Amino acid sequence: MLGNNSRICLFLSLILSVIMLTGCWNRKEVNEIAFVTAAAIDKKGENVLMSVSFLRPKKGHEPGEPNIVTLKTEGKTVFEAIRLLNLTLPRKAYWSHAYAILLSKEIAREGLLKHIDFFRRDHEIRSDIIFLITDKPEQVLMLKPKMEVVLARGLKNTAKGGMDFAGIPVFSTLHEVSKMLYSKSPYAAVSHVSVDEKKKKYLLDGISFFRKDRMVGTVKGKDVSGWQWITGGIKSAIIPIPCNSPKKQAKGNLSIEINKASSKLGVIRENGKLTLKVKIKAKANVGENECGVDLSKEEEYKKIEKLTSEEVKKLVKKMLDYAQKTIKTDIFGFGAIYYQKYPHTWKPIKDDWNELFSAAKKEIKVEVKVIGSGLIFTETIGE
Amino acid sequence: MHILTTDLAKNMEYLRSRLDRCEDVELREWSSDLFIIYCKNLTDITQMHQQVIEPLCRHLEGNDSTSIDDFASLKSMISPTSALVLSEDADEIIDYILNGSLALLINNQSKALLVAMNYVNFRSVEKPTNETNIRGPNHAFVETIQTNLSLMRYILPHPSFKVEMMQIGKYTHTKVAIVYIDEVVNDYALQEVRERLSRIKIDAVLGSGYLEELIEDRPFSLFPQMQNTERPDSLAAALLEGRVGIIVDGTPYQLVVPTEFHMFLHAAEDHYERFYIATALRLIRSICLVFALLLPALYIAITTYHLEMLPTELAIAIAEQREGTPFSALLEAIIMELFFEIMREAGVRLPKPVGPAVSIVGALVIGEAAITSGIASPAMVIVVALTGIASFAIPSFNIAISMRILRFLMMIIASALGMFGLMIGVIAIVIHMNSIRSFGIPYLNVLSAPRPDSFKDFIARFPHRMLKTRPSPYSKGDKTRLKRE
Repeated sequence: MLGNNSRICLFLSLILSVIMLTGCWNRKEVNEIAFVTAAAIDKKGENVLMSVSFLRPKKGHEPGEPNIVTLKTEGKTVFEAIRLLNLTLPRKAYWSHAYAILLSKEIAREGLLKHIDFFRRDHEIRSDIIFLITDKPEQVLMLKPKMEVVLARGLKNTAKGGMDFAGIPVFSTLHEVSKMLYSKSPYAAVSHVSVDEKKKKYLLDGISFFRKDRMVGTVKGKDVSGWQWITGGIKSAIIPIPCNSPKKQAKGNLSIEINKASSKLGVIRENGKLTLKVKIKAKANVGENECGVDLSKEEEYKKIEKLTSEEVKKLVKKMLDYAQKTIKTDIFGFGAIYYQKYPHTWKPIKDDWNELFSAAKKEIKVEVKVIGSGLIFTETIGE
Repeated sequence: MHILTTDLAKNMEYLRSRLDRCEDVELREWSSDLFIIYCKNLTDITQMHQQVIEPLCRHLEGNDSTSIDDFASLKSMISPTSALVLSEDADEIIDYILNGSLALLINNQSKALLVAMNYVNFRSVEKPTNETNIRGPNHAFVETIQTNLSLMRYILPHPSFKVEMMQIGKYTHTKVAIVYIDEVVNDYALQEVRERLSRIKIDAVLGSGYLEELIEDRPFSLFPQMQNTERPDSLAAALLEGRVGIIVDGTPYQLVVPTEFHMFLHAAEDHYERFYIATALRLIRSICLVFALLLPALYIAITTYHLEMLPTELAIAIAEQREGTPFSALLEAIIMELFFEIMREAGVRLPKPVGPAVSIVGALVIGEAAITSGIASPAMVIVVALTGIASFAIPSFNIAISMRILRFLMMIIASALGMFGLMIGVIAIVIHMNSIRSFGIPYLNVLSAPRPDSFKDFIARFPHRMLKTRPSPYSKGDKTRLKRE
């Protein structure tokens, strides 16, 4: 066999070839890449029109915030458009730190899947990148951020915060959207953003709903929180209840702060007819008491609980009605629940699911428990 | 070997020729048939006068003679506190003289009487300089082996503590003591130490490092396979685990074998402070070891291959810092590491009062200037500084050196293969460490052959009341450390 010395030589040459022969194919220095923060996708004739926002890192001690550079590009497909960016950009676009993809309504109506395929396929994109639907996506990218350093980050955090604290938009990340699109009855819910041109700010004001991957409608305002109630996305929300006390006190509201909520969906099939079951349980606090309700009495709580439950029930019913009557699409994932319960009967009705869903009866149960009144107990002045 | 004759003049002629121009050796002619030879600077003159010269004078005056006929009468004169040896080998006699003995030669005798009178006034026992501590004993080994052995015997006054002496070095005649505790020592290691030391034929041993390199198992490995310590208590603790100590004359740093890797992360203090803090400190040291080895490599790998691993803010911050720097991350890291190594080396070599000042000023000025001139990015300076400080937190200097060298290799492989390469490097290091044996004991002993007991003094230091048995599975005989009824 080989001698000791030649074995060492062999070993060293192997190590050296490991280092030398790799060619560093994946290597990129930080100052050779351009960080993408957000991208906007729109249609222009047959082509895809993209605007991509890059972060221009300020050099060394250059003062001020980092600059955002937005470049436009056009291509037959999303990927081609992205690669054609390099005609104007001296660096390679780096997508791992992108926050948001804005899609125009036209794109959304034409079909989501074919436009987000690249983002799902490419390894650089994180699955927590957020999708947003808007009228003119380019316009959003032109806004100056108010709070965050990077606008796209602001968009993403607003979507998260809005969902967590107000229950209105949906935190529609790549992962969540894909999950919905690949469920048994494909649907999607993506946050909608609109631009206030005068005040130069954005507002995440609703959710756009998709049947399969095509947009069928957008619900704006706080009614849309019904969708979050049904799908269990509510983490915290405020339900105002008008005062109805017999006393001549001023008009006002009770703010009920929902702390914890969970929903349970069910489908029951009887004689070929479906009943949708929604069961919601929530715990709440009295967050504001404009009515002067005496919160030291238990029966007041019972009343408040009943009123709040009704209020929530209204939201839920409105949303179900919208889904069944206006867009005739199962946007809550009842299809998957049905499939779990009656797997053998799924196949024949698969294609007619949305019709079956629209014709279904509904059964809504809401149970809100008010467990506290904050730091103040009674509300009587001077007694 | 030269055997003495009965002719004193001839004997003296031979000794004179051998000790020619050794002007520190005194060849005193007492009378025509009594010679006294000794080395002036190595013998205790007062003791010599009290014990040898004065009794000799009194005897000669009392008997009114000028000569002594035999050693029996000579021996009876000399105070019995000194060790007396009779020798007929002239070379051996010279050896004794040059080690501080007094030689008496008389006519008509083919022998010489040797009286041990050695007295060397070197520095006294001081505080440890490299292995300082807060609470433990504060004496350190010095250069003289006598003092060092006395320190050890002072700690272990038990007949089971054995000292085997030998001499190595043609010119230095360096005294080497193999010390161990007979009832617990690892026999294989002891036998190996004896054998390997006895095989050494070298001209000089000027420090324990000579022996370390000559007897270690893997002489070309980057990892040190022997611990050295200047603390008698650390050496005693090692002996009590069944290890063997090698005490070398002329150096305050004594060797401990067999050595396992985790010993380099232990400090003497760990056993003197309470176990919570000892465990926490060992954890920090382990982290420091990883930092010292991998931090720059990790930085290179992440910033050139895996930017997506960073939080966006950090990625952007690093991008901003790197904007406008001319070199690749690897080159930048190597330049800064070189700066750092140069400053450290300069700090060590410079005179004591200047050293720290230079390294601080160097670090501040060069670090700041490197950033403003655009050679390096601030993040890189942080990485290099953290790496440097982490390598200082490792208690053993010799393992810190191996980490310094390996760090550069890891940086190169990380720049070529990213995190993947980093993992290859780490795995290669672990494989290599696994292949090392130190005097029969695997280097990664606790990890490669885990036993519940051995973890009690590994990274966590269990309370003393739970350390009931000796940690090393290879120590023999007396296994009990603590008996509790």
